[in-house]
Amino acid sequence: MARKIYVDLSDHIDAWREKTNIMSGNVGDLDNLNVPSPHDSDVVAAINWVRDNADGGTRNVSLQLINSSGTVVKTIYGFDSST
Amino acid sequence: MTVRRPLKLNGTDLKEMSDSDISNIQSRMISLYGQNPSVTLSVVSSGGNLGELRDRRLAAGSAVNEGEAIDPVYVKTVIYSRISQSVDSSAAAYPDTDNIAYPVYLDGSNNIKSMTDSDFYDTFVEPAITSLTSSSTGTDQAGTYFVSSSSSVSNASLVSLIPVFTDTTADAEAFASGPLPEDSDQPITINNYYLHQINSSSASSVNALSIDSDYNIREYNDSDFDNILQRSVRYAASNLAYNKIRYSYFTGNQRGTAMLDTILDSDNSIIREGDAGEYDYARQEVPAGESTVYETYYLRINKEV
Repeated sequence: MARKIYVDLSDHIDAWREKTNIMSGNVGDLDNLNVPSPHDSDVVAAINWVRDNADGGTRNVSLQLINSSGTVVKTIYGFDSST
Repeated sequence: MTVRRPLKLNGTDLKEMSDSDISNIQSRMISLYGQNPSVTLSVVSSGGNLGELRDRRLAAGSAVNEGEAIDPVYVKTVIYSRISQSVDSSAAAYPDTDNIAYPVYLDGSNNIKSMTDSDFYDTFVEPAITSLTSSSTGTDQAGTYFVSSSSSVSNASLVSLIPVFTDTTADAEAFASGPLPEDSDQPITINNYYLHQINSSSASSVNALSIDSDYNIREYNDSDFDNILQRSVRYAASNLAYNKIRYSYFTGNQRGTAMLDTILDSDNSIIREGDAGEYDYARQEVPAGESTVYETYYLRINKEV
């Protein structure tokens, strides 16, 4: 069952409040966002930080799989233990 | 020459193989070679392509009458050409069209890289061939051959009951008495030499890892790793320069017992004199004395260019 939340024209204020709280709960608590400041101020900033670090950022690590002719056939990104 | 240290699974982690892991894989390769060698020897009745061995023995000269010149003893030669070598020219290298067929190792940048075929040969095959072509005759030489004066040797299979060489000498005792003329050729067998093949015994090892067709890292299963090990060593033994296994009587490490061609020394020959009234002939030079080694042969194995 789809969980996308709509506030309908017929909803009373109390229903509106409840749906808003559900949406907030679905996003989560920014205090629990495990990315460093100042990237933890909002979800978009956090996602961008993760993306930046996974694709050429300064703190990511990568492991390349290379065939015997020297061609990189796959790059696996990750974070080293210091981040 | 580039020897690599392949990766293996250590639980769910990747780890470089130890020297012992690599040595175990080389032993497994030897065992697999022993199950299906690509260079084989057989015993034939004559015309073997390994060449000739000569058994020499003294034979008596012709008997002569009183007053005639003595006919000296002479060397009679029997040629043995009974070992034939076959090389499986169809043994081919393991295919590596995508350059990811061989095991992976950690390169200098700590990336995971597939070995080239040369890496694989240098790491596993060349040491295995070196062991296979040593003068030893144990399990690390499985599938190769040696010669013994016994027809039964433990951990080896007799190739044929036909000896590859027979050493004979003149039977001095037979020549020493009896009426003249003696038959000129009265041999006695000193030794028979037989060809044996070293049995293969099972050898286990860890399996290496490779990059699969989806570019993930995967451990070879037993069957696939056996296949790459066996095909590679069979190809090297038959066709790969500097790793070809070849047998001969002249070049390489000695394999098994020395095959001695012994002969009675002609200087010890004696002239027997018969009674003309009793015997048809008066005098005959016949072999006598102790035997000496005329020539020493070995079956040899070589890692050939």
